[in-house]
Amino acid sequence: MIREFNLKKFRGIWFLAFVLSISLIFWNSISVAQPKTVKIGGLLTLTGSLAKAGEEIKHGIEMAAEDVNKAGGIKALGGAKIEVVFGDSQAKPDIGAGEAERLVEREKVLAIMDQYPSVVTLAASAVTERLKTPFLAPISYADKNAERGFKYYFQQNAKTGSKGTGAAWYEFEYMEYLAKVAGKKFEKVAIIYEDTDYGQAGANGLRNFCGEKGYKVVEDISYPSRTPDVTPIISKLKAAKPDVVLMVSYLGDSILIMKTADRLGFHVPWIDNTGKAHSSYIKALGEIAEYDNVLNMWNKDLDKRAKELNDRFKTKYGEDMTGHGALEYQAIWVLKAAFESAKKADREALRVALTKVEIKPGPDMFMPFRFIKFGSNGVNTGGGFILTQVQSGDFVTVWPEKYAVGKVKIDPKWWK
Amino acid sequence: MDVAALVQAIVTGLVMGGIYALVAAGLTLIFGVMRIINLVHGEFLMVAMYGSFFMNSLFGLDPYISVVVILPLLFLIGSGFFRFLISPILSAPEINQILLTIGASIFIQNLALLLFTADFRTIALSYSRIKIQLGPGIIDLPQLVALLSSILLTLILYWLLKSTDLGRWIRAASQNREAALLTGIDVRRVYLFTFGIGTACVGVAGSLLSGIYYITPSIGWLFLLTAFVVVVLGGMGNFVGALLGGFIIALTESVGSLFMPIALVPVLKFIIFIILLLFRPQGLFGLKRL
Repeated sequence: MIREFNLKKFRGIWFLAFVLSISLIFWNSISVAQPKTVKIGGLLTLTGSLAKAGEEIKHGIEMAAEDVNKAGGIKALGGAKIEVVFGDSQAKPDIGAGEAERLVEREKVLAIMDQYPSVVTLAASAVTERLKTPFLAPISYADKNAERGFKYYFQQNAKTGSKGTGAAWYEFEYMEYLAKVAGKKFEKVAIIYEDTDYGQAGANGLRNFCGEKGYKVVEDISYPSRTPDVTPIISKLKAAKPDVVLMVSYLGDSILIMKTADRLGFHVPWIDNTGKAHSSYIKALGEIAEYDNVLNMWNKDLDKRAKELNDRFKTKYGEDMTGHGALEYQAIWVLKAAFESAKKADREALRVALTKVEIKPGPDMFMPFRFIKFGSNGVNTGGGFILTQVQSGDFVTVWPEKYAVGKVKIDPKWWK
Repeated sequence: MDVAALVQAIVTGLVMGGIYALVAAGLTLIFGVMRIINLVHGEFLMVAMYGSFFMNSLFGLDPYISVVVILPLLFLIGSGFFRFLISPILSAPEINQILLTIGASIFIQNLALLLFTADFRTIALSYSRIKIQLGPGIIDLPQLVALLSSILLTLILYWLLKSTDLGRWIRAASQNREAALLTGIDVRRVYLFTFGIGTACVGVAGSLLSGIYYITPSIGWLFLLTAFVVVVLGGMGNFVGALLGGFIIALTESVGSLFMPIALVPVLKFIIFIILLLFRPQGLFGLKRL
């Protein structure tokens, strides 16, 4: 018994329903004039392998926007509030590019700020360049990103391989400092790195610096960050008997690597390049993480202001703020300063303002930087890194000496 | 070439092989009997790992003890999944079945992300750092337990299929569905049990792995792809094949990485896979099914 579905009888109603449902699609785009907010796109890794990092960073951005808005918003735009619309890159370049397009074209954001990995930054910023929208990379620092002659790309950190300012440079400098403190001459160095832009650019820098100063690089190993078993490469490292290992990795692979190194009884100082700078690293490894040397951009123990910022963050979100979160927090303030000088909620005006903006240590500077000013290639060369060592289950700033809160501790198991 | 490194590679290869076999065991059972490409298998592994983690963090239970809870739990989850989602589409084109399992996989992964966040969890056991020295090769206790368990599990499954009534029914249903129906076997029920058992197997795998790897919603896929290669290598439905296949793949990867950049190592297993499909698609153990 089949009842016929009588479409014809209710033609009118169906047509009305059809029109209504079509109009719902456009509902969101009907912009009732809201001059009181400026929309910024936040392109983060909210799902996928880096979802944990994305979540922490989202909180950093949200807190920054709240702080700016509570302090009166953007005064030059009549107290307009910053509204962040998030996109999810899933740590994949093609998806990141698609999301960048969506944020610009459909959400009509005035600028996009992102997270990492550098491969996603590369892809997404190519899209924003084409769509003439400013792109601020608060974290990414693979060399390639700033070497494209782009006008709309701005990067808060120096290129990793830059001598004197890059992350790889700081990692290398700390190695020499550690040697001095330990009273041991480092002759043999091993470099291990994940195989995308971030790892390769970092390793390149490290290789150059080691070569210049005459260190012998006894092992140089690249690996895909989603390897289920790293025992073979750790065996190789152990067999080469280096005095120190320099690594450029992300969080997940770092955990596996350090666990394996501990299992194989391989005990030398490891110096990391910001991949491990998350409290979940310490949580995951417990005792094994003790004495580990982790490059960072910021730490909650830096000064009173940092502590206050972290306390508020911790109360709100239940965990410590990370260096990455702090960079993103800072980036919102950079955008605010740019809007103040642009005096217009317009992408071109914002771009021009970003080329001129200059933030010095003061109320708008939260990082241990000398300054924030974007050079002709969009790179800020006033940034800097700190080295935090894991001591008693927490990150302690130990270097450079002007920011140090604690002293470098030497693991009695090293070199045995 | 360093002998110590080679021994370590072999030792680790055996351990990894055991781990791959653990994940592949359930997969080969399901694939061998029902011809279903079960892409949600990896997510069940992840669920089992989270189960172990919470048993440990909430009740202080050792994963080697809580496996007693995880096993029946995953059996129920697997059976339920079959009953409500797979059973209705058993006669559908394969591509639709694959789409369903992929969809379920995405759903479960993101549900886990929502509930548990992407925090990397680990279980720290007082004895997880005990090392066992096999010549110049070192493995730790959880790894050794995983290896021994995979051999034990393979033997149990083999016994189950050879010597029990249920096992005979499963073999009959997989050999010829119509004939099995004609002899009075409730094939749908057999399938239900098979799916349940297959999922329970990966539940055991998850319990054992929770002491070795970090736990996060996306960990399932790390093992699933290799598990599929192992299943094809060993012959679909053949457990001993899966165990040996696991060892072969893992040893190839592990010893291979001594001679080439580690990024190229997965290429080896896929080359093996392609050669197999071209020249011996029935796997190493041919048509000797179950």
